[in-house]
Amino acid sequence: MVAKPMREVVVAGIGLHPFGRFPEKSVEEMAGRAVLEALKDAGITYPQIQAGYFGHVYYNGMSMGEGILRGLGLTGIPIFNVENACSSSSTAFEMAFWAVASGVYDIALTFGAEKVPRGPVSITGAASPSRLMGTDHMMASYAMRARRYMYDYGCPVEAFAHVAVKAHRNATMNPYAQFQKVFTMEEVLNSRMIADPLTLYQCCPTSDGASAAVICAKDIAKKYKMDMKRLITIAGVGIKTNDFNDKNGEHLIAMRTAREAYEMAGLGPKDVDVVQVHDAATNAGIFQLEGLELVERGKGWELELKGETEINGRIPVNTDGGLQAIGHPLGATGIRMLHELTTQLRGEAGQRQVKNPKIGIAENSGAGEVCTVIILKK
Amino acid sequence: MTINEATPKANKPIPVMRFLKLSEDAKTGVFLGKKCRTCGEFYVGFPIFCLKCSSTDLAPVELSKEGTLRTYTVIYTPPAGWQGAVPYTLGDVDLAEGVSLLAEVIDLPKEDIKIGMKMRMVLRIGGKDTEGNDIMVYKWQPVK
Ligand SMILES: [Zn+2]
Repeated sequence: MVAKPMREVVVAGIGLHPFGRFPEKSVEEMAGRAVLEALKDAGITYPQIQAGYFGHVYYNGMSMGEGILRGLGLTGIPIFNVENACSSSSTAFEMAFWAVASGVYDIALTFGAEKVPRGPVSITGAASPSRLMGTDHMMASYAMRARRYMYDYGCPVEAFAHVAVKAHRNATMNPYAQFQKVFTMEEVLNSRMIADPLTLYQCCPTSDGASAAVICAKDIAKKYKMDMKRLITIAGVGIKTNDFNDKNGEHLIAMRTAREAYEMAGLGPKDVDVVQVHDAATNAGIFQLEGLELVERGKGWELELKGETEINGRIPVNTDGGLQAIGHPLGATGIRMLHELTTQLRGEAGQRQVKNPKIGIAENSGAGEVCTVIILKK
Repeated sequence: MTINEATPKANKPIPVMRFLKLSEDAKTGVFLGKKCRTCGEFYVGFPIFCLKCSSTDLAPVELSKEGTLRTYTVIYTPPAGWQGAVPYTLGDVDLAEGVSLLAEVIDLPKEDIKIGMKMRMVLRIGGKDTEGNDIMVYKWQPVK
């Protein structure tokens, strides 16, 4: 039995600071811009916000959330700083959701922001002995899973590369994306090798950026004079860390998380119209489709190669470019996924609009491991 | 006694991880682990709780030094702190006890690696500690 919200909670406003490299901008400035955009989109002002939930990974001093929101006014609200690896802002979002769903607050702001240093992202601290072993390499673990998957299911490297090709094509229709260029299969496969079989253009970039969402109880949205037609319901949420048996398959943590979200929403994989998955490496963009049970285990690569995950395909995935092409400012990624689903469900995605979607699902993975799954409904 | 008269300190090799127990001459080693007396699950190192059943009744054991390559990757962009050659191969090896250990695969051209190969643990010098002692790391070598 999964927990049920005590009342319907909606995404009322969304905001994004473009993802990319902004050496001249501070985290506070980027986050502030995303927050202001979300408030404007919801049609409210900052003093109406009753709580703030901030997701980030890199440490830039204590109480970063307070530091960011200070510029908008000292209203005395509680502000929660959440670190949960790459799932930080989706975790913050779920915490805000439950607070509103259970009546603690009527309206909350949830946001994420990051400036990620250049170069490979390390999991451990500088003194870790795994550095002498050469094993502390985020992409190595993705690459080893890719190798084993190829061995077990006969998947060719082209299926992984296609995840990047698709992502980059989608990103050319997204002004917020770090990359704005189409890549061919050959360009992806012939780019510099990082960790075999993953080439440079199959590993997401490191990025700066920020994302924000205003959520509120639907029954009080009228009081705030919100545009009821643009509200998107948060239908299901799930969050999990590793279970002992997850060592039997990389898709299992997402599967357990998604089942919880599906059950809460009273929906199943067949109901899903638009998808966001955590494609930090291209192969994860395939495994997670299997985790969400949108396709049978071992068959995700065929779905990808057949083009069924394209915007006009049967199961459109990462319509905004995903981590591969929009970029991956760790703490901003989770809410960025929800930004895109909300945009799609509202029918406001312009050139990259999926045809009339009703249900969207987002899967956000983090080291630890952590997995969050959030289902949004028109 | 002045500094100049001090005898040079002997190199005392130390293991990279506490679960790697070196022999007297530091030429060989064994992986130390635990076995859950309640459910039978094995672990590398010294957990206090069984991750499967949460029992604290764990017996010290020595784990196999050989196993089967479950998967691998060849790293072309090494992480900070890596002092070996580039590219290098990392292999994840399943031991008979059901645990796996990740380490560099050596003495094998990278084109020749195959999932399912038998591997044995060997020791190499991975670096020096602040006092100049060799830090011994374990690596995987194909069993011919
Ligand atoms: Zn046990």
